[in-house]
Amino acid sequence: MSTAPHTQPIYLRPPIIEAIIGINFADAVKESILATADRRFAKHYPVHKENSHVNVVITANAGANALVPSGMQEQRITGHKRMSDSMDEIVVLMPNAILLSHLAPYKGWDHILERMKRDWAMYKRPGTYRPIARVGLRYINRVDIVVTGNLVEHELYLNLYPRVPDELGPIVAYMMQTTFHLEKINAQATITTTPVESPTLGHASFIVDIDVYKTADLPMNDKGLMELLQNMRSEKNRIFEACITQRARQEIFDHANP
Amino acid sequence: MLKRGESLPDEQHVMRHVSWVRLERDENDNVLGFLPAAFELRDGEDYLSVNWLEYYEQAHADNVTACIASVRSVLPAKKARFGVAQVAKVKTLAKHSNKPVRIVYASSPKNLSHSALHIDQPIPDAVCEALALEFYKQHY
Amino acid sequence: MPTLETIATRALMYQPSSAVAQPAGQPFWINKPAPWRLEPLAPSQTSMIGLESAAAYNRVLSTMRNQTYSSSDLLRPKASQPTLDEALFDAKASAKILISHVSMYLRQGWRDKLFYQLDNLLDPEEWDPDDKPLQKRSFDTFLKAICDLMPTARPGLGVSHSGNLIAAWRSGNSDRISLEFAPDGRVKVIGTRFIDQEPVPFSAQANVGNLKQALIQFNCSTWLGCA
Repeated sequence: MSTAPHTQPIYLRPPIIEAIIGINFADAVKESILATADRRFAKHYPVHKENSHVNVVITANAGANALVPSGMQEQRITGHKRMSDSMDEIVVLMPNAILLSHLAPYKGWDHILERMKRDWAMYKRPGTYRPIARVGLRYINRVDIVVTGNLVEHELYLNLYPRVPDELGPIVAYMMQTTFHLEKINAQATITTTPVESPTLGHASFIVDIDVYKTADLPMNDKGLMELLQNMRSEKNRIFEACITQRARQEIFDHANP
Repeated sequence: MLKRGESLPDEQHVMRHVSWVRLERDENDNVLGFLPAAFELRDGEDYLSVNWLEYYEQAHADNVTACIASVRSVLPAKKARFGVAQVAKVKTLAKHSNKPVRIVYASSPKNLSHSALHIDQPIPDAVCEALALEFYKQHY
Repeated sequence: MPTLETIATRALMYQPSSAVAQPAGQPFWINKPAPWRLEPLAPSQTSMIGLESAAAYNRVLSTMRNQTYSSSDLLRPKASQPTLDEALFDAKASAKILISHVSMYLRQGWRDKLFYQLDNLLDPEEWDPDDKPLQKRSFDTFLKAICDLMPTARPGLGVSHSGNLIAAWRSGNSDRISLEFAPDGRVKVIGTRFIDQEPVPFSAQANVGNLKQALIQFNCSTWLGCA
């Protein structure tokens, strides 16, 4: 089932600081097969770093007054992280996942999708392709609001923020994470928003991090996968537009459409 | 020949090695000068390292060549530059307090012409800037 | 050894990613996957701490698991002592990522030029091993200044012994200014103006927030091509 593409306003100054497509697989591949896959990416991503992720499992037993940890296991997973020379296009190969990341400046969805098609074709060879367990599309946006006084009226630009009692006074920090079910594509979206240190003077910055992911009814072929990503992108856009105000569109993102 | 610890004569010259990252360059990396940071002390340093040109006891140009070769044997980076200034001028530019500026011969086994430029600390930024301009007047 | 409360607290503590930065004074936050994999509580354990807390704890775990990693989540653990090449590479990568974060504010051509300059600047063959690598927070201060000043003239770049970025401009062939950007937001201003061919140095310490005013006071903002 495909959704109609969401009509996306054009922003001359898009707030996207990172766009990620992540595909997780049901099974892991051997290191040797992953290394072979890694070499195929060298042409487009010449900068290589080995990439390790550590999982620590702590098991605990009930004690008299508290849980008492009874054991600890460390599992180190080694993968490959490759970057373009400009370090704004990144691919991460893990035994059970591939991740494509693009840093700002955002070059548009068409560019992201073309890159996905190219890299997916490179990745899929005998030994590397397995059933997909999760498809994720994550866009990390940063909304920079001009600050003229001591208070930032972020609610004039964002529709997503915590609601707190007035008597507690202004908020000095928060992090809010919400998860929604997306009926149209039978997926979930996790939205995280939090203020961050602004990289520019005279601004207050807020992250609006939208992670659309699907773990069931996953595509069995490439056409289905690309169609799913298109639909996830439409949903991501719908969510983003719902999270910002018209004032943000005009004043911050330099809305190109009247 | 001077002994270690003796001051260099005012009419003689010293050379300062300036690494690539402390060269003043334009946006296309064409070299324009030395940055004042090239004449700042590192944490824990008591003096600025320079080399005594007349140690080599040759004509000026040959002293420069020999000194550069000697320093490059210790600091081989190719894009570094070398600036030369007269001892008297350096002492004038570096003096900012009642304490005298001293340039003393301080050879080491790997750097026979090494000398130490002692300036009263903290060295003002304006002194670093003045030294950077002066040493660049004769650079290699 | 951690109690359940500590484990639950750690569920909310993550490695900061390059995409976000922790405001000064904030205790813990930022939603990136922790390097710890926590197991859901078994029924026998939930009875000890109360069902409400256990349910909340398990929900946090469930949310943590279902997250698309960003490139900066999956960071190579730092070696106990990186080599010079690794340290310079990491410094260059950090700087380029910081540039990407403000790319929407940079003038045309600045990003490409900065990348070119960084590649030349952080060259292991030319690096003094006694120098600290380019400090990320120093480069952050530099970018804040550039985005605020919006100079039309592009600077030459250098690095101090302590890893602070230095940006230098010339006016004509002689007048010059260099700005050294410290990690704490301070900027060291050093320059020379030639008056009747005699060098007249000037220097000041400014905060990046009032650097614009400092440059106006020294009458050298036009050297940077600032409005």
